[in-house]
Amino acid sequence: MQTTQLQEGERAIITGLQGSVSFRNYMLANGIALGTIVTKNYSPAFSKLTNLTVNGKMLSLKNADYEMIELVKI
Amino acid sequence: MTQLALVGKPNAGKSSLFNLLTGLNQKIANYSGATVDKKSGTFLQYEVVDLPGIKSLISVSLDEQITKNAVLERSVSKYPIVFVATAMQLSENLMLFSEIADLQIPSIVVINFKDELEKNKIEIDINKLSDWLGCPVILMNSRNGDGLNDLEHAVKNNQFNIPNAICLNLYDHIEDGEIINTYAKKIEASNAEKSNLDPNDYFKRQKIIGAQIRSVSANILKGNRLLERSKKWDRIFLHPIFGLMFFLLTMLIVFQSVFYLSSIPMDWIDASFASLSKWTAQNIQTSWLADIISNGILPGLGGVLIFIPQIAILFLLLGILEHSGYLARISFIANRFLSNFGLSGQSVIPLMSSWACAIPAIMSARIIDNPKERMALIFAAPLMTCSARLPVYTILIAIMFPSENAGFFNAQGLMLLGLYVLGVLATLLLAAFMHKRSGIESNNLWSLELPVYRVPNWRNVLYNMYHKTKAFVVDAGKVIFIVSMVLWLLSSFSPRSQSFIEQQHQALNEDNNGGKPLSIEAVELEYSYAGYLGKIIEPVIQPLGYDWKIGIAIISSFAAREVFVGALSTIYSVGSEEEGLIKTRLKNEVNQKTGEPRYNVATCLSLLLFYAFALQCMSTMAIVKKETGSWRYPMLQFIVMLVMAYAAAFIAYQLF
Repeated sequence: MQTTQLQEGERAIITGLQGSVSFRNYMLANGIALGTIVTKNYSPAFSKLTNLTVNGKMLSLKNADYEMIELVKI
Repeated sequence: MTQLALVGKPNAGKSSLFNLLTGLNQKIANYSGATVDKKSGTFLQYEVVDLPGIKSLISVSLDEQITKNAVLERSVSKYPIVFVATAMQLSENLMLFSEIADLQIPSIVVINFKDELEKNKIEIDINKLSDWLGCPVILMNSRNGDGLNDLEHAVKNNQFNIPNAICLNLYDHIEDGEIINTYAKKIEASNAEKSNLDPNDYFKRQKIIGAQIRSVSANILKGNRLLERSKKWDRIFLHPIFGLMFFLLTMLIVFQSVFYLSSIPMDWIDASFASLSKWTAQNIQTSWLADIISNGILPGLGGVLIFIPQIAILFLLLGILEHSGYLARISFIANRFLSNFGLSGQSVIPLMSSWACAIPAIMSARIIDNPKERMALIFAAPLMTCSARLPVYTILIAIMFPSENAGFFNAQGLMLLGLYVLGVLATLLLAAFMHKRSGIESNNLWSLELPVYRVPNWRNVLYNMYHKTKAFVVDAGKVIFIVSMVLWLLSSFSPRSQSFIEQQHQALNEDNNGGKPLSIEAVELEYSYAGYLGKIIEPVIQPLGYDWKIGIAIISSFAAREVFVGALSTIYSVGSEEEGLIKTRLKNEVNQKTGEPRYNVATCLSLLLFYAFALQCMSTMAIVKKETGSWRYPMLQFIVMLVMAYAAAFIAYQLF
């Protein structure tokens, strides 16, 4: 699914991650890995950032980076 | 002494645990080849090292590289580690530990912030976790020491165990009957741009570990109220309007407090050193010794120590913001605005620190993941209005806008505000320019972890304030002190004989036609090496509206801009650094060629702009050299800012 379709409070499982090796390694270091469950948090308009809960921590990603994550809503 | 390293994710409470274990018995040095602080101290039979927080062994930032290398060293040396995990993010933390477990390093795992577990009714089955990991697991609270006895007992009895390998089979292979651990080599060779880790392998590994940890966590971890509460608070603190208003209010309170609370101790330090100088001048019989102590050493020391209150208060307040979790929200709020200038939310802390002093600001730029952004920020940060510019601004603004002319909107205050705004704009524009033109490769990586809101741990806040202030006094202090001594030598010695100077003094006073007599000190200064330097540069600074006397003050303040006021007071024979006296003397100073006041609006504005842009701080240059590894960057920075300062001062003087 398109990551932007996830609404605040909804949960999804990560099924893929696009981008270069270095980008994917960086995201892995932040806990964005296959099979991980994420929840979309309050992400204010105009901030260019998306907030997620990943493995019990709150993570803020650039919208462009967030859109590289492939998710399936659960 | 065997080393014991503390390893964990950022905000896991490693530094709290380190402070608890070592107390004030700490040493702060640099890791070889880098300028990341290496904090070490002693605990029982070990030298404890507090390693920078790391997200994963494939992480890339400057701090994280240090930790990664230290962990890899331990996979060979088998020196033990204490892995610090937060119970609130156990799954995430154990993900990192699994990487360390696969390197087969003797470990003890500490699950930190026990109090938050109890408050949120979270239960952890320590025995089950310990069995699964294959090493001791200790539940404790590094804030109040609860559980420290258990850790002490485990360390004392050397209960470090090599943990169970979790995913080693993905990387091992057999060669001539021996198992070769290829994982360590792959980790060692990996970096941001060229990784030889197969990303698919890594995904598989993360998937396996994730599934295993979640299966264990499901049994041991229940509920996370603190996280849910923090999410609710974020609806206010990250709100586009309320969040911004709260941020501006917080900044107002922080900077008002820095200036308001520091004024009394700064005055006290200033007065104490003035009295001490006076006392030494009067009571030490050997004249050269009295002179070097009262006019060289003590002013040099005073010039360093006077900034302690401002720096300590700023770091106290920033520490409170950081430990409460709010500083990360400030980064979030500012991200959008800063992105227009090639910066991100990670630059907020260094930029804010620059208002006190560029030195801690440049040091704190290490937290920025993107090297291009980091270098752009280091280059531009000295343009922010630091506290050392304030004495210069205050006196020149007071001459430009006499208080009797101030209306409802105080012109002096507005001018000062304008200079602060100018500093911010200049910093952002130069950063944007450097970001586009620096040629440094950008990795374009950025993420921000928003920690849960917590009541700050006062011990950690105070330790942080103490160590940062101490670092300023020791590191910057050495440079300021040496330069002050050099300036004293240049100002105190002359290529001319004393009899020549006395003759000149007499002749000048005879020509003075009833004006205020010149002091012998003023004439000595004119014929000192510093005086000659001032006259050499006079043709260059004349288009800016300055004479040789201002030239001496500018040369003197190239080492540290705050020296400017003191240098002027000496030059004009005021004999005191009290602002009112200097102000009066400067106002009355006449341009010999035109007969008009020397310090008219044009000259004052020219000087203000010169000081707003010029990089007159040796300590900043020394820190930039340390952080960038060569003199190329600070020299370029010095030249660019000098050109900006000269151009702005020239335009201002010619226009007005």
